[in-house]
Amino acid sequence: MTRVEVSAAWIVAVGLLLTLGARWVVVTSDETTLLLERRQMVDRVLDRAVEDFRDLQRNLLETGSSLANDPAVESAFRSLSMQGRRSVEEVIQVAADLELENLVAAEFYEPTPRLLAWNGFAMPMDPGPADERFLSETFHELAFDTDRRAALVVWVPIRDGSRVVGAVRAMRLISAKYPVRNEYLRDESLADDWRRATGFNFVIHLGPGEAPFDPSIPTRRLESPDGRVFATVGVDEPTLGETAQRISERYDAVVAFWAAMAALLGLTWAARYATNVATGPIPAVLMTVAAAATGRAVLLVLGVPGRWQGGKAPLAPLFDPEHLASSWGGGAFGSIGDLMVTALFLMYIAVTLATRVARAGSHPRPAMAPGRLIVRSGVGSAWSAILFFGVESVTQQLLDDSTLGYFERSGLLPQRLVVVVFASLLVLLLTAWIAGAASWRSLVGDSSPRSSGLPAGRTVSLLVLGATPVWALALLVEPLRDAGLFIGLILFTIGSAASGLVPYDPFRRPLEYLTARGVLSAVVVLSLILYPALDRGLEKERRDRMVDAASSFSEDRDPRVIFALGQALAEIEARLKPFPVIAPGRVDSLLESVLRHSLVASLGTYEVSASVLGPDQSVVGRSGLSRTPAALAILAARDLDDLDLLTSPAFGPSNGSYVVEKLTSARERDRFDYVGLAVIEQPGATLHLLVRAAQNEHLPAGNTPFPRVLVPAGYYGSLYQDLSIAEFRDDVLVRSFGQEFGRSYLDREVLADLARAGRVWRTEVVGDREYLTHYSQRDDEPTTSPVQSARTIAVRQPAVSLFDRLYYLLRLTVSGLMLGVPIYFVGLAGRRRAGLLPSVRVRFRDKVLNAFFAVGLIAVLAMGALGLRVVTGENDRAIESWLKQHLERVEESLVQESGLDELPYRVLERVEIDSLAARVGLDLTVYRGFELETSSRPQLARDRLIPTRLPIEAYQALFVDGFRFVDVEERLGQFEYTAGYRALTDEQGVPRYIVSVPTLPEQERIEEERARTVAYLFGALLLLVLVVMVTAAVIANALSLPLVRLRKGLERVAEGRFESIRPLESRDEMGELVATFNTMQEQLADSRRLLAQQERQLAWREMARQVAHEIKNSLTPMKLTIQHLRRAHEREADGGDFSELFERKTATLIDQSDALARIANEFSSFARMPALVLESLDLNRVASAAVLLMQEQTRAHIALLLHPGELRVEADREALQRVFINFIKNAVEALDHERQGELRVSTRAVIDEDSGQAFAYAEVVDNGAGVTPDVRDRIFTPAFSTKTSGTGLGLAIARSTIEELHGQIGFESEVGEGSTFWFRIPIHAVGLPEAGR
Amino acid sequence: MSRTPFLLILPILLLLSGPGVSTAQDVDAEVNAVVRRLERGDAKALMVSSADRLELALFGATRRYSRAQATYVIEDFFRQYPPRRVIRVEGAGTDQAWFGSLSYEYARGSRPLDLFVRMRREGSDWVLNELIVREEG
Repeated sequence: MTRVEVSAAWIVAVGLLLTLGARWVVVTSDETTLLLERRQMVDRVLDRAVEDFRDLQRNLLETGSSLANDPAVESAFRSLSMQGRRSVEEVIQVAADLELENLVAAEFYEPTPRLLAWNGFAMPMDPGPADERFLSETFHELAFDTDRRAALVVWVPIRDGSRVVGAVRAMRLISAKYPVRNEYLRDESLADDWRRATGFNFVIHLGPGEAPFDPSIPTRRLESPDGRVFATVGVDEPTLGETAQRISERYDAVVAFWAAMAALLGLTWAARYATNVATGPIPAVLMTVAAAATGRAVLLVLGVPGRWQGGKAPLAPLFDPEHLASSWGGGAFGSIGDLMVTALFLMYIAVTLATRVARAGSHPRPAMAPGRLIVRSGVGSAWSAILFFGVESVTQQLLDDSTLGYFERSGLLPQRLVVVVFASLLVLLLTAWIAGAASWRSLVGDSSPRSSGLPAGRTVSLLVLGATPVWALALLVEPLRDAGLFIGLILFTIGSAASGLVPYDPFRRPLEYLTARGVLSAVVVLSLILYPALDRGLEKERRDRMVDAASSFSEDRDPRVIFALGQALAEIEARLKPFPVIAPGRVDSLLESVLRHSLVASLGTYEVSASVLGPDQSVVGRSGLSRTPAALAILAARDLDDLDLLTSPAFGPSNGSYVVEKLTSARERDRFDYVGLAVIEQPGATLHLLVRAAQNEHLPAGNTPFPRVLVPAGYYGSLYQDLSIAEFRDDVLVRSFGQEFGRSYLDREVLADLARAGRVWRTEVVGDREYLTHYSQRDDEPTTSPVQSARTIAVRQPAVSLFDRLYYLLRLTVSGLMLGVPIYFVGLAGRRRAGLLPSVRVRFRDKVLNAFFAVGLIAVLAMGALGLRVVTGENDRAIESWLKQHLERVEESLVQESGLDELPYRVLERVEIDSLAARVGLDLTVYRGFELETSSRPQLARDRLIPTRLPIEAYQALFVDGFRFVDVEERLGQFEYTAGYRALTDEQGVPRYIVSVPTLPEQERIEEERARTVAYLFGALLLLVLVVMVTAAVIANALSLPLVRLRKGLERVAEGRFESIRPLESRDEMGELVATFNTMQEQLADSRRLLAQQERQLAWREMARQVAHEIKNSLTPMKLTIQHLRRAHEREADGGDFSELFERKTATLIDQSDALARIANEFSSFARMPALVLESLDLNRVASAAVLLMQEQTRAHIALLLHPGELRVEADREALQRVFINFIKNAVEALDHERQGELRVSTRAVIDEDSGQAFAYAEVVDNGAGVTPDVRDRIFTPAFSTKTSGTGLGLAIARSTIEELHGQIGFESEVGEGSTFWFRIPIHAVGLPEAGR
Repeated sequence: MSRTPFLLILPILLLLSGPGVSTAQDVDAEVNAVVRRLERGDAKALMVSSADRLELALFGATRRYSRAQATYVIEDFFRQYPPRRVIRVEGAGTDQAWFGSLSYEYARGSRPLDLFVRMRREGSDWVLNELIVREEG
């Protein structure tokens, strides 16, 4: 453990203990302490609410002030005070150009005060203009719009110097209640905002009056900056038990933090322990896997990090089960965040596994017997299939346990959470890929074609043969009958096998794989493999939903409708009974109010109405949720008939009770209404209350559909709104919902299939569109008919087309890229930091490929952007045209009604808006000036779902610029739509009325059309991307292949091998170039042979000369010695000491004889080198031994830098040691005595880029004199030496040894700087790095 | 006349008296069980007798959830609105389905929530098919 880790462990331990202690103290504290805690807690949240309210006012003030002080506003108002009307246009322009935040609006006033321009929502006037500070200073107000909406207001004067020229009224909506709540419409409420942020329930009373709260509720006043009370906020106090729980939850979150830190520290240590201490790869891997799995399990138990992400936390949606939550893996996929964390843990395990397997098994194996290769391939293939199906199963399950709209056609970029899910699934697939590659490496490993000696074709054939039974078995598995999934499996297996068979390069860091092309290719390939699993899961979900819709549609009696009608009857009865006499108008509003706020309002597939009939069956009151009065009239017509039926003895309710029945049409038994009846006895009169839920298919054409934005949450049938459903009885259509069933009888083929199977799935083409239809026979309905009639329910929706699939695939790929791009940039920074960028060498193929990719991507992006623009433009034009035509139809309708010289606006003044709307089949809204005059949907106007003031853009276009038509994009909550406005002008050409038609009802269809076009566009673009990528790869290969071959050929020439390269089957210049090269190679080979022959002759001559020279060198001293001895012997007689001289001289003679023998031996050993005795040995050990030996003989320090693991080679230990000794000896002798000698011996493993073969590399580096250029060519030549002593055979013998070991030898040198002598020989195995080496 | 033969025949008559009687009793018991599980805040138990796919609307749009996902969603709901008391209010049913409302009182809240429950008959079992939660209104 490092010191930092020890410190971290201490911090974690102390933190954990302190937190647990503090938690214990607080949780076990007495009631008084808890009361105090609760008070502080409540005070804190109330303070927070007060501060938040202040911030809102502060921000609004900033907005108002910035608008009032805006130079454009000041200029416009200055001009206004001088020039009049023309400058109003400037003010309007300024207002129209404003970009305000959501929920904020601004209005510009003259000092009178007259409204000149506005932007955003409208609110009734507040008391501001009556305030004495108006136009003199800035002040705050509250504005109310009945009880539906409230806004904070700030008034800011606009000044021209010291003169006040106008005022800005900035507003911020703080409360808005909508009659419906759904995904688009959500009430605005500060209380809700604060509840989400704090978890406490707030209540707010807006206004200065006394808040009608329970006196026990703690409250605070929310004041304006000048101290006026704007609102009172209260909060529900938690009980003491809840207080204790909240406190303990707070501490638990901190405890979880410390525990998570401890788990991560433990994981780090365990991983290191596995690396350093485990005695083999398998225990090490098992330990790492166990540590990672335990770490993940601990996080799951702690609920980390999800427990820290509640309320408004930025990552909260990631841990919200509403989007995704699966029970698989014991909570490992319990949310999107958990899926991410699990994927990362699995990735860590897979990478660890792969790295260890690669390091442990990277040595070349002996060629594997074909049978064994087949069996192992089968096992590898089966394992790949298991991994693939593992990911596929997780994908299917996660889709099943998710409510995200994965493949909504909403644009190029999916929703953020969908991106996270897709990216996590791609990481899971990559994890499986890596694990698969590791298993392939472990099973087949380096029995790959290159290293096993098997030809590539044969090996691949054997692999395929081994895999065939697995595929055959796999085809029996039901999912694999899905062609897409099968192709995915094949791609996955081939990919993981190929990755596993690539020779392991221990020096290639992971960073080096993170190139743009690498990341892009990985994302595309993984997306292609994952998509079929996604497609399959979504298809299943589609079909399940259709089956559910069929079941729901075929139910005989719907208890929800019966319940809802009963509830409405009881509510209306309870509210009518206390009032014996009620004005008819009030009965209508009472009925409408009850219907709107009761459960019947959510009966989406029914038209709901209520009638109160008097004793003489006269209508006392009537109302409904029907879309138009015409529809209501049709429903009301049935009331009297049904009243007779329901008051008959068969059904009649007794006094004080009610009855709800499903009444079928006399002629059409499959068409029915639910009708409820209550009899209300009042003094002097008996009233009959009828509430009806009619299937809205009965309604006549021209009734505009109900837009989804106005569909309340929990709306009955809303889940199946996009489906068309039909019921056929005896093959004849009897009722249907939706637009897609055009035929009134069942197809014969369908009938035949139904007779056989009972339910049928069919893909059918109707018109020019393809649909998926589910037919199912129902026999669950009891019948009294003697002839049993066949009942068939059909559910239909548009089929998923090829372009849809391409578009979905593109979205998946884009999601992958959103993960891949940051990874690429991390890799880029890492490569820069590691000195890998800029690259020393860039391959031509890569350059070509990059250029093609760049051009392709730019083209695709340009086309995409342009296409999107065109589609959007066309869509806008279509909407504009649609609105224009419809508004012209309205005007034409008015013209048809007009009298002589009567202008349309005058007709509008006298006709009923409802009848006009019914005539043209549109929702109409009429504005007078900029204020709302009337609407065919008055309730929507009352509910503020229709703007009560013209949008400023429309006002500018119609009143200022003089256009007759304009369309404006508007927004209702989160729902965006377009509205068209047409001016009806008077005799002077001034707009008197503005008629507006929204696209609300049509918006979904328009969006669907647009989405489909966008889907097709991007689907085609993805196809283009794939084509570009494949084309780029093919062309780059075609261009670079001859160059690569030529380069290899030239390298061989450099190595002295004059071999021909494989000819290129091409008739172009490249083919000719290769042919020319081969011709040149042949000529060079001939010349080389000739030269070699001459060289040999020369060498022999040189050797003879050298031998003669060496012998002469020894013979001369011998001769001199003998002569000396003879003279001495002669002189002995004269009394000389011959014996002493004899000893000395004969010793010299023996030395010379030994020298001669040595010379003879060395020449002999060079001439016929003894056979090497090969053994498996560690090059590091040989180098170490040689250094140890040589270190004793030199004073210069020999540095030793060894590869961290073993470098196992097949070699002769003695011969190899001789090579090292020779290199070191030469280096020592070359050292310059004038300066500090540096000598380094190092070893490492390298991969030959061309062959992919692994080599053990050794070098001896010195900073000696270097080798002069004139002798470099001959340095390995026998009998060459620059030294005065020695035979000059050392380096020649070294070369001979290395070449015999199938290696290469060489040197680099610079005169005066030093030399590097190196050799490399094929590696047998690279060992794991040993600790401490 | 002795009443013994009648007493012997009674159980058979009850068995043959049609599904209506037993259905009403079954669904009643199952609804009560749902109420108890809601009151205990036990999402897992609640899901034991639910359909494979559940329609849930928790203050928002109705969505179809798998049983596994619904368990997590309802657990989350229980965390935010810890149940204090659940009261069965009223309901209406047929042989195949039942729909009714409950009042859900929760800790930290002064006003109960409206719960609507829909049960469906699958074979001989009643399963929870739909759950709607709305603020009282």
